Amino acid sequence: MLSLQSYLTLSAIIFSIGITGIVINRKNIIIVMMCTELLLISVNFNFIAFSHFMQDLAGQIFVFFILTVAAAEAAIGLAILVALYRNKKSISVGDLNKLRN
Amino acid sequence: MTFNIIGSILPEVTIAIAICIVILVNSLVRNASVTLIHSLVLFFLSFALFLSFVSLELPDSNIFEGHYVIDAFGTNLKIIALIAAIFVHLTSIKSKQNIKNEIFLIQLFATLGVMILCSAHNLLTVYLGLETLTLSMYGIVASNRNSIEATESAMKFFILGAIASAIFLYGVSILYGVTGTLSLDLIENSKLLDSLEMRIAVAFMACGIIFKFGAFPFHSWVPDSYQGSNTTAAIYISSVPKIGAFALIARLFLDSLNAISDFWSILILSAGLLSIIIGNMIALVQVNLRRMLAYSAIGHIGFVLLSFSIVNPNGVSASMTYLIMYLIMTIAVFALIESIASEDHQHIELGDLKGLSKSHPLIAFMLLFCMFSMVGIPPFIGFYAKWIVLSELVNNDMIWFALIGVTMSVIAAYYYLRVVWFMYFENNDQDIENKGVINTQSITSIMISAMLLLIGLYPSPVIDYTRRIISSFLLID
Repeated sequence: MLSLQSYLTLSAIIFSIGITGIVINRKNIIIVMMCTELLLISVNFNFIAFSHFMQDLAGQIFVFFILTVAAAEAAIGLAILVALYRNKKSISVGDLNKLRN
Repeated sequence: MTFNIIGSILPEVTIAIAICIVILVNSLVRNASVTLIHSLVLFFLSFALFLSFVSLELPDSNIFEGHYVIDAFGTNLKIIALIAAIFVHLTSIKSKQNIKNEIFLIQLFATLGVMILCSAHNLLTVYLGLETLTLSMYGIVASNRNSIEATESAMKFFILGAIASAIFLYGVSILYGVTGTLSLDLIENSKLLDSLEMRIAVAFMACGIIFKFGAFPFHSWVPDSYQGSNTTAAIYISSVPKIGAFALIARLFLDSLNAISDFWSILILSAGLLSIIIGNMIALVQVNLRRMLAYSAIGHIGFVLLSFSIVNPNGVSASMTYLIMYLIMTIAVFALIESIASEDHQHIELGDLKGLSKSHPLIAFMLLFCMFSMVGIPPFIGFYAKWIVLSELVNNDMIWFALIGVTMSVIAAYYYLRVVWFMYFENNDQDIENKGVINTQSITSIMISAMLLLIGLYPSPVIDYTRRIISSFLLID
């Protein structure tokens, strides 16, 4: 039986991978969106681990809501991406440079 | 019983029904005119406002198993949000423009999110309200979908927003693990409130809240989305969502996590102070009017946070006063900009204001009022807002922070008064045509700007109002 600590460590690692992926990625916005999904997955992991070890259902219910909202968020993000691609013909992060000081 | 529950959330139900009706009208009525949608939205917003006034009479209650709370604080914030939404809506009425009908629908969604945030009393409801607001804000920023700037700013906003809400959620998950509950009532009973884990959770959640405010470490979406989107979108995202953020920080930090207020007040204090400094400094070098206003908004929000970090009732009510006065100023100034922006010329540079006093004398005069108010010159409301915050800071032995605030306001005078300089003392090279167009929009914008002066001359009702709300909010527990 794994301890709560192992679950939390794994979730923290996933979260860091997500943040790192967003920060160092310069090529593709889709990868950024995948990384934001990773962040939410790590949160879900946390919730399920806590919920299991505390024998409290609220955390698992929260996970359902996070999954639903994440799906809606991804849909909106992809819609914005499609509009951006139509205008710009590029989905590279480096090309998001029209608005500057 | 069920009827009682529905009765206490009637304003939210009204907005939800309005959303359904607007969707139906938009898709069923062929070529639904903008006027029809406008009047529908306006009617429902006003009706919800009326119902909120009625529900002020309701006794405080917890509904939906404590997920949702009806109290004077939440209802009053809802009233402020609805009034702001109505004014935003009035200012976006313009006969000839290519704004799509959907933006009003999405604004209704965002208003619903703010109203849920005002009453949410469980981290699950808080999250749902926050996401209703955030997801609609992405849509509002992206609503001008044929422009490169709008889609680019929406994409940046989306990425940053997704990160911020994930960080907020990570904090919520740690808080759930530490306290074992999601209810804002039960959090304060936890024995582990003063632990390191709790501080980590609070720091994570503070990131999400500061992002919603658009304050310093997470401010980079503000200038981009103000500049990139159209003015109708900018005026909305600069006003109504801040009320939701204020409700969130008050319920979550001030109410439930009051036990570790000396930790989170440092976070909020530093965010506020740095926002004032960074916002006003960067605004000095801007040439785009909306981008300049975005940085000035960061500075104003800095004052709200700075005064919130005092934590006692007077400080928090000063913070709320500043927020209300900031809302009036920002709606007024954006409304005026919107009324001079032409269809193909949405990106107003400072140079475009040359000779405005000749071509649009009344609007230039009102814009002068707004700029004086934002600088903080008496008798406009901006002066009272700054004065009440600074006096609270001095009363609580935070004189150095007050001094920084004053210094930054003086520096800010440069870029506000530069706008006035361009309007009144620079001549336009092109031939001046006196347009003198009077439409609903300029009437509304002039009305709101006149409010600047009126409330400025007689500000005590607003100050008393916020004092009453905040003290009743803090007395409950």
